[in-house]
Amino acid sequence: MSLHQLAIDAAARYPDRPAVAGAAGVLRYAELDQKANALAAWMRTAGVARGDRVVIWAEKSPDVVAAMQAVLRLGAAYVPVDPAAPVARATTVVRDCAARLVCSAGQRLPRIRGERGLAASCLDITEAMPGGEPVNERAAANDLAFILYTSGSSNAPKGVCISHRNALAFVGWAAAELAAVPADRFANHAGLTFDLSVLDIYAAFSSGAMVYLIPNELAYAPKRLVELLYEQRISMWYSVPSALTLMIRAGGLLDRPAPPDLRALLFAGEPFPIAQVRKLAAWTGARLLNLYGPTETNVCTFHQVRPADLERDRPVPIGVAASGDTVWATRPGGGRARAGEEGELYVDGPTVMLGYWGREPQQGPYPTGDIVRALPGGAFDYVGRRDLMVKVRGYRVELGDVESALAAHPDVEEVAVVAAGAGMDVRLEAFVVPVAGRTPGALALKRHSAERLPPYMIADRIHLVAGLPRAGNGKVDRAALTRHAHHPGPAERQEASQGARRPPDF
Amino acid sequence: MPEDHLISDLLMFIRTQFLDGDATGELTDETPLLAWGVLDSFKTARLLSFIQDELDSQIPPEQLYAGNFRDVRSIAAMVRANGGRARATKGDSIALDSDPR
Repeated sequence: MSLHQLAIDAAARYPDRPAVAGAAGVLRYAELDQKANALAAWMRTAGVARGDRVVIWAEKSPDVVAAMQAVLRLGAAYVPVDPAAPVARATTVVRDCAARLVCSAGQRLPRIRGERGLAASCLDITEAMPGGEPVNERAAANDLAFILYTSGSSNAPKGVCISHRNALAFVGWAAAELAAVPADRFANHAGLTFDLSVLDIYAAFSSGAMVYLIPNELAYAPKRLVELLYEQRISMWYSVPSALTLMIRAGGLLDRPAPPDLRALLFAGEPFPIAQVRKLAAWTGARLLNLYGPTETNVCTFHQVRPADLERDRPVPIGVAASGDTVWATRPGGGRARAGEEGELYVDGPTVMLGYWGREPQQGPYPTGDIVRALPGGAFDYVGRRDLMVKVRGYRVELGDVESALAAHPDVEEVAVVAAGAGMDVRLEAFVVPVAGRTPGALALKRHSAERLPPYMIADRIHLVAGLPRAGNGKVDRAALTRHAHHPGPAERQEASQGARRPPDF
Repeated sequence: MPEDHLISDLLMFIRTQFLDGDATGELTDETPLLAWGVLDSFKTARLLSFIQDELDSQIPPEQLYAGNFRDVRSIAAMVRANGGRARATKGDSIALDSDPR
């Protein structure tokens, strides 16, 4: 069984049912199948063969999903790149994974085509194509299906390699847990570079259901998101908690009766403040599911919210093992954590990635770097990160990456970056010690960062300081910096009062 | 070139709200706002509130795409095309905090 067989089987069984929809229209399963075959034929002509990589750098659309299927049908692997990323980031990924082809559209095409020395050819996925013969290369369980690039340490992007077996283990588990049926309508909120999107697309395909692609530009437009939930009669919603929080705060989500079609609200990527979960539980009878797992394992634990969880004063548990995986926590001194003890969460099983692209294969259990507390009955509570990786609205950000980009500016002597605020309001605040006699402007530093990092890793605020506070061990005192960042200046206080007066309104 | 009040209003809002006042005076109407991370989804939503409330311009959802927020000049063109007017022409003064530090 291969990952692309899901859409092929659904096309045979449900040719006339809608498969994938977006602002640009809808593709029925038969149309998706035909489009995927036509694109596969074109890609084959362009030289794509089994074992190759194909980068996809484009806004979400049914055509993009068809292109993903086309790549898989050739026995190749697709590599999505954030459509908002600068062309430099896209070319870094193209080079890193030695892609044979770049699929793109619109204004991005001339930009990527203009990059000199790029061996890959380019395909405009929106161009009309003649129908092609069915293409369905078999894939072995451990063959690469896709690569998801995440923020890595020392500025080098890390490509998480996911096999057909990895993806199918997760998708099969999710579809069964959700009891997905052809009448279901999945919302795809996350970008295609996120592992969350794997559930939306492939759990839908595995059950003949539809997935509705929410454009990236609307991902934080709360009123539009709430309207889409009702208009599109979404039955399965999966997103980072920040999106749901914003829909509650500024989208009027709770002002209307919960949509009768909604069967499950799934959230993952960061802890969901319990107050918001309580509101959702009071609003809808749909299942509330907390999913947990780094990109390297996709979802490895899950927890369905129960009434007793709502009485806690902390986020709901990350729960018990999912996707056929085995999970445990290892105490700092070694040995498995027992109920009440903390340790680092380890994962073993079918969803553990093949490894990072270009590095040694992953051997044995995957250490998540997350500290958890073991609960009675085999479940876990999330405690925090071991290192300095933070989440900004669901994006993984290694603070060291943000720092090293800023430190590369000629006017910067020293820099430390902290994440301030919580949940939806998390922001990156940079404390910059300038080179003597220099005063680099915030815009100059943002511009400098933008040439090296994706937009969500550009520091929100830049503080010029004479020196960085140090803790006793000589390391930068990040706690002190975070306290400083929390102290709002007059402009921020005004923003807060304006926000209370009138929420953003797309 | 005559002074463009709409562009001034937008520059002032972005300076005070998103750039801590822009003490070094770097922001211009051609600064790439999205590409340099001055605007993100959240900040764009706040800017839209300002455009609606203070510049009297209702931007239809289909115009909410990145090209229209590329820089202050593009935003001003979009606001103007949707009936927006500079605050100064309405006879009130800018009430934003112009000295946040």
